[in-house]
Amino acid sequence: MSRKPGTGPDLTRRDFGRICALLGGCAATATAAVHLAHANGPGRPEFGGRRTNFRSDYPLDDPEAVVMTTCLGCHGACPVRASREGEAVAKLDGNPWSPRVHPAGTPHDAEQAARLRGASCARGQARLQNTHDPHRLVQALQRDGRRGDGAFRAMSTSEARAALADGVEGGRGLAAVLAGGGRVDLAVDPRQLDRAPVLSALAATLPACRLHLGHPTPWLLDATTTLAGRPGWLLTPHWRRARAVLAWGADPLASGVDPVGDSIGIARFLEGAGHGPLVVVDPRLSEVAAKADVWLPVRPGGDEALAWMFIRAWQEEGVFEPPLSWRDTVLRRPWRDMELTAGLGREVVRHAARLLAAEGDGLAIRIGGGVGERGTGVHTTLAILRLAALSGASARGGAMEPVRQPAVLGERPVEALSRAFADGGTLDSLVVVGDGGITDSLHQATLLHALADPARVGQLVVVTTAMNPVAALADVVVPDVTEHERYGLVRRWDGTSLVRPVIPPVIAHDGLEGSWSRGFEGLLETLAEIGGTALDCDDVVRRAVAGTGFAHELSLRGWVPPPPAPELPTLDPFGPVTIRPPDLSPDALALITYREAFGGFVDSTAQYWSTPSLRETNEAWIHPETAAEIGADEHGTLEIHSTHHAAYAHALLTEAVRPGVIALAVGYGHAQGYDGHTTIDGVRVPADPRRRLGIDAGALVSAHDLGITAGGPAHGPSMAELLFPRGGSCDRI
Amino acid sequence: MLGREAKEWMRTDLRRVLNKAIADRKWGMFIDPEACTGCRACQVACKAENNTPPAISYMVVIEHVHGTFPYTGRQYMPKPCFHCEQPACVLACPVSATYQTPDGTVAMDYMKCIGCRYCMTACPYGSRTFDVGDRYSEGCASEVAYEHRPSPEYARAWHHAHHTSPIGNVRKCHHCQHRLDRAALPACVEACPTDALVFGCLNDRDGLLCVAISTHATHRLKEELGNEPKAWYRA
Repeated sequence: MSRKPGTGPDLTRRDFGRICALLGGCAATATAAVHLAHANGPGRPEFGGRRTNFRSDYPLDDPEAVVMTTCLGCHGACPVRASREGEAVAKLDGNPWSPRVHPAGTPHDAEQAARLRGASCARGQARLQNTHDPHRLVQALQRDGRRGDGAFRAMSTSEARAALADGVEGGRGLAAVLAGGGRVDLAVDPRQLDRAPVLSALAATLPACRLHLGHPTPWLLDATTTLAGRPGWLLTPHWRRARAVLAWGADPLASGVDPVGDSIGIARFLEGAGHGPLVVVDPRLSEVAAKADVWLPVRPGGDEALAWMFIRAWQEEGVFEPPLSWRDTVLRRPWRDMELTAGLGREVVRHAARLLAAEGDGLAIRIGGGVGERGTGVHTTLAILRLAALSGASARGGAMEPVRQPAVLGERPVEALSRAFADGGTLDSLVVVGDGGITDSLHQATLLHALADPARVGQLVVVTTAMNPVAALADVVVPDVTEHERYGLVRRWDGTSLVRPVIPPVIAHDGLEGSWSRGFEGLLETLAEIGGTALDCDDVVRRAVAGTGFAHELSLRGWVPPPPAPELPTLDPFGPVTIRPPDLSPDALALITYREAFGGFVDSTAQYWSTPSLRETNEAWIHPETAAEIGADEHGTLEIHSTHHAAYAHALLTEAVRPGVIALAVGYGHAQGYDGHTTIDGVRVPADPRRRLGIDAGALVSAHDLGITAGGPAHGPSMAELLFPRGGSCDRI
Repeated sequence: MLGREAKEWMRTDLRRVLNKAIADRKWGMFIDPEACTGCRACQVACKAENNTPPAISYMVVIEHVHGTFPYTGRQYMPKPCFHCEQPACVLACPVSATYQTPDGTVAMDYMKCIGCRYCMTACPYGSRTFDVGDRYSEGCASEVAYEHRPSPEYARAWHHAHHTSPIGNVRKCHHCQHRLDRAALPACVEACPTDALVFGCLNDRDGLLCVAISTHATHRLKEELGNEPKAWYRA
């Protein structure tokens, strides 16, 4: 075919072919180049190779950004490597090179030390994340509308304090606020341990004030209360009578509720000529463990099992005759199960049990604070303290001495609060820190009903870091600071806090700038001012930060606890002991609520950040026999009604619960009257979406509504509660 | 429990294996549910390491209640991606965005992923999650530092910003390759306080991983499917 002149480019067939070949070649080359670049580029790196030309934002790349320090999230003070971004800490890892994880009494050797633990638990990191949680409350709020509508208007902190003062003075006065018609004046989250000295000071400043706050080891107190059958008594070692010592948990030479008294006590015990056996239970080879006759490195979380191994060993050795209820339940647990849980063999435990039993009632048991804190702490502590009862150490003249606690440490606040409301009582004013333990409480629905009623609670003030179901009912909400902000839990070598505060901390401490103008302590100052007294929180907290903080040590420094509440009866501490199992009716259908997120032994903060198990609809556990009775199928929908609420859940047929029980997971922060949203100045502000996960089972759990006994505190595994025999009691053995 | 020296044993193994050619490495894991106390330190460590957004967790701990009342107990099962030898997800990906590296790690190429989520359907273990772009600060007045931190995955700083990867991509465990490159154990393994997680090379006969697998009765999940997951659970 010939080309017509002037109708197209002057291109020969050969040129056309060359151009096509050139273009095709360029395209192929470009594609290959892109592919190659892609394969080796940032999208698909060369795996496993040591890339040296790459610079990332990864903190491990910059040794200067890593600070070796300790996490002060609990008394364990784990050594950590803190990765900084700028001057603020962003990430915590375990530090295997710290002398703290090195065997006590041996020269520090980095290589040797590295063979020990470099792990840190989830708590410090999770609290760091909570500090920077986008749902932090950063301004004071005043209720705008009816109580419980969730509508607030923003206000300055000084306005909040003024509003509080107005509410107090508006016809009620200080006496009514702090010691008025109700029996409870301040409800404090028992996990807010560091505030005990502040509140104690307040109590001392205002003698009329009856104050209820959590004990530093609330679960320990709970357990002792259960064991002793009365509140306010703690079984503590009587070191002079000790002929054998069982040190359980955190190193008494380094930390604990009473580090001074315990360390002196153990030191004197060891100094004694021909002293008796010292058995230490601690996963770490601590200072005291290095001095022990028997060191039992229990697996974390396996303490209760180990305590029952002791009891089992004593039973088999004929040291005591177990009651029938134990024989049929806990003492039937196979050795193997307990060994796996505790991570220890039965022979070594038998050996230790023999050593301790030989000293009879001279057994002094020192329990570290952490043992009683975790989810299973009540049962763990109970099991350990039973050793004292079995050996006779807790009897008159034994090495365990019941010590009456000051009134301020005498009762968990939420329990006192529920008692106050149980008989229709009213409160003129109530201050709650956090959620006061209310949304974890067995009495959640009852309490929230009462708080929502202005006729029963005149004024409700909540101090919190984030909105919660209790804060949603408040008249005034005051933003709170986190522990990281208050104390700087992660610090540089010179003491400077590495945590960047979201809210200025309430104390000026180690380089942190701040004042008392915000937070809970400022509120307390206001209350004291209203009462016509002066409260120097700064001084009190400084003393707390300096290492005091608990009743006994404060008393050593001249602190005088307030007089005990008059209604608490004075009882003989050596009277008969009654172990009271939960009052679960064998006939009624019991509704058990539990927090699926609380299954482990890490505290709620960590779970809050990491739990995947809480879903929109968690299953309701139900025994197959019960399911057959009520016609429920596996995975079928259960509809559970109370007089004012209903919940829906899929049935999970399991023999893990006893017949007659329906166990429901409660959503995190999910409670009646709180849909997870707050309106501030007319703008609807969403709460953390995770707060809406799970079933609103808390709204159902009201003994008044259902006419049943609801069991299972959220903090303790309800399954463990169920392990106790139903009904009856057993006397001192 | 494998003893107090397990972590350092693993670190020594890691340093030795990293000196081998990449094709000679085959990362695997031994998981001891008996040792796991359900503390979820691995989950928190994973989130802190990879700065993952809400609803994305490469490592989860599954809880199971077993037994008959009153003899009940709880069982915890840490579950990362198993980095199968025969990964169904890789076969399912229409654009080859998920692939096996020479050391057997099943990785993601965020730049290639089109977000079809076929791999999520194909994975028999539910080890993949889709990044829909959720943020912890959704609806809040201000953002927070945590969310500004980039994810260090795949040797690059991935900022979690809208319209950019990895938003709109499927995300999964990658054995913390950025840590392995620096001779550090994966974050979950490093954080485990009870040594319930053992990480190492399956070709390293002297390594703790092979010792743990060979000295314990083990099983793998859904072995009948033939994916050959590279994580062995203590039976």
